[in-house]
Amino acid sequence: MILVRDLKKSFGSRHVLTSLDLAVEPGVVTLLVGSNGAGKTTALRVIAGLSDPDGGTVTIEGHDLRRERKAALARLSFLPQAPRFHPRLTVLQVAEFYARLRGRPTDAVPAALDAWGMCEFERVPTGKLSGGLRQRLALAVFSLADAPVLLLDEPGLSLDPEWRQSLQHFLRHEARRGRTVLVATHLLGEWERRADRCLLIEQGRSQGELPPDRLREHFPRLGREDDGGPVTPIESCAFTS
Amino acid sequence: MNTLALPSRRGVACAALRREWLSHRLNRFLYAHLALVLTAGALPLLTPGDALARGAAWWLLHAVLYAVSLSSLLLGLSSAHAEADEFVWLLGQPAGVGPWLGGKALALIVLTGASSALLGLPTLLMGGGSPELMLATAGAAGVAVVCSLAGLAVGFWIRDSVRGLIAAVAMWLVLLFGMDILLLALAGAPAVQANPDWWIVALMLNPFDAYRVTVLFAVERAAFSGLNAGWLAGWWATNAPLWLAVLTFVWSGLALLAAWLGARRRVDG
Repeated sequence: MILVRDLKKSFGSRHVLTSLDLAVEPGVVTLLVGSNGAGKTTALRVIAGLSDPDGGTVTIEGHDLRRERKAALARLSFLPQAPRFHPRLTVLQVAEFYARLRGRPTDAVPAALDAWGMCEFERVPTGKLSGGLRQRLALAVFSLADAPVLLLDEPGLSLDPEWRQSLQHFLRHEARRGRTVLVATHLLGEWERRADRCLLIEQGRSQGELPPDRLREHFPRLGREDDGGPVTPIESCAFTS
Repeated sequence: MNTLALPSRRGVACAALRREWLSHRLNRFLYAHLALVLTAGALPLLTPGDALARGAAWWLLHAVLYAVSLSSLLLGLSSAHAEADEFVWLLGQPAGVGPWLGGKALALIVLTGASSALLGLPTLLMGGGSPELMLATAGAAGVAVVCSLAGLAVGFWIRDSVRGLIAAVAMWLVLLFGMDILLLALAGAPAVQANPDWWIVALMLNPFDAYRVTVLFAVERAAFSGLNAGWLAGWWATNAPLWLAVLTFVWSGLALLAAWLGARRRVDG
C-alpha cells in the first residue's frame, strides 16, 4: 500500500506538487492520470525516493520513506519513463547486476528476460537496443525485484501493441497476487478497460477518484485515441502462474 | 515474495566492481589510457646506455604530468557519464549509493593503479631498474588514481557530457599550469618573501607539483635554492616520497567524498 499525505515539491518558483494526497491499495491496478505537467512524474519520483519532497509524507507498506528509506525502497520497484542503461553493458549483464543489487538469485534472470522476449538479445549492448527493446529490458529488470509495490511511469510508450497488452496482463496478474500497482499515464484509451481505479491529479493536487469506465466523460478527446484493442483473458497471459 | 532478501553492502560493492570491470572492456578511454601508458613506458628505452636508469624517471615524470594524468581523469569522467542515464534506476535501489560507489571506485583504482606499473615495466625488463624508477612509477600510480577519482567526481556533479568534459579539462589545466603560474606571479610579493612557508604549502598541496618535485629531487638530487628560507622546504626535500604518498591518499579520499556527494544528489529538475 502507498500512502501519500500533503506532498509538496517545487523547482525554484515552479510549484509542481502543491498538496498531493493518495491512497493506493493493493490488489488492484490504479491509474494516476492528469494532463501534461499535472505532476504525475514528479509524484512518482518522490514516491520512488529519487526526489526529496519539500513537505508531506510518503509511506510504503507502512514504512516512512524519509525515516525508513531502505525498508521502504526494498518494498518498491519503480519503472521510470524512457529508461536507459549503461550503453556498454549487455542485456544479460545489466539484468544480472540489478538482480544482485536486489538480493535476487541470478538464476532468476533468464526467466525474467524470457518473459519479456529479451533472451535472444542477452548478448547485445544496451546502447544498441531500440526504444522498445530497451523498455522490455526495463520491464524485465523491474519485475526481477519481485517487490510488493509496483510504480510505473508511462510504461507502454515505446512498446508495440502486443507487448503493451502483455504489460497490462502482467500488471493485472501482479495485482491479483496482492501487489500494489500504480501506473502514471496519459494513454488513457489503453487503460480504461484494464484499470480498477483511476486517481486524478491536476496542478499538483489530488482531484479525487474516477471510475475507469467514466474516463471518456472526463476526457472527451479520449475517443480519438487508440482504444488498446481487444482484451485478452488474463488466463491466457504468459505471466499467469 | 522475496522483498527483504537484500544483499550486504559488500555484495553490492562486489556487484558494482564487477559491473565496472565489464563496462571498461569496451571503453575506448581505457584503451587510450593503456596505449599512452605503454608508449610512455617505452620512451625511456630511447635513452642509451648507462643513462637509462636516470633518464627513465625523467621521461616518466613528463609523460605522467602531460598525458597519463589527463587520460586517467578522462577515464574517471567517462565512467561517471556512462551511468548518467541510469541514475533513476541506481538511486531508487534500497542498497544506497555508498556501497555501489565503493565498488565502482575500487575498480577504477585497480585499473589506473595497476596500469601505471606498465610505465616502469619496459625499463625494468631492459635492466634499467633503479630506486628513482620505482619512485616515479609508484608516484605515477598515486597521481593516476587521484585523477581518475577526480574525474569520477566531476562526472557525477556535472552530468552533461560536454560541460563535464570542459570542467574536467579546466581542472587539469589549473593543477598542471594554473597553480604554478599563480605561485610564480606571487613569488616576488613582499608578504610571500616574508612567509616563504605559505608559498611552499601551496606547492605541496598540489599533487602534480608534489609529484614533480619528488621525482626531480630523486633524479637530480636537486633541492630548492632557498632551502634556508623556511623549515618547510627542508622538511619536504627530506620527506618528499612520504609526503607524496600522504597527499595522494588524502586527495583520493576527498575526490571519493566529492563523488559520493555528487552521486547521491537526487534526480531533481
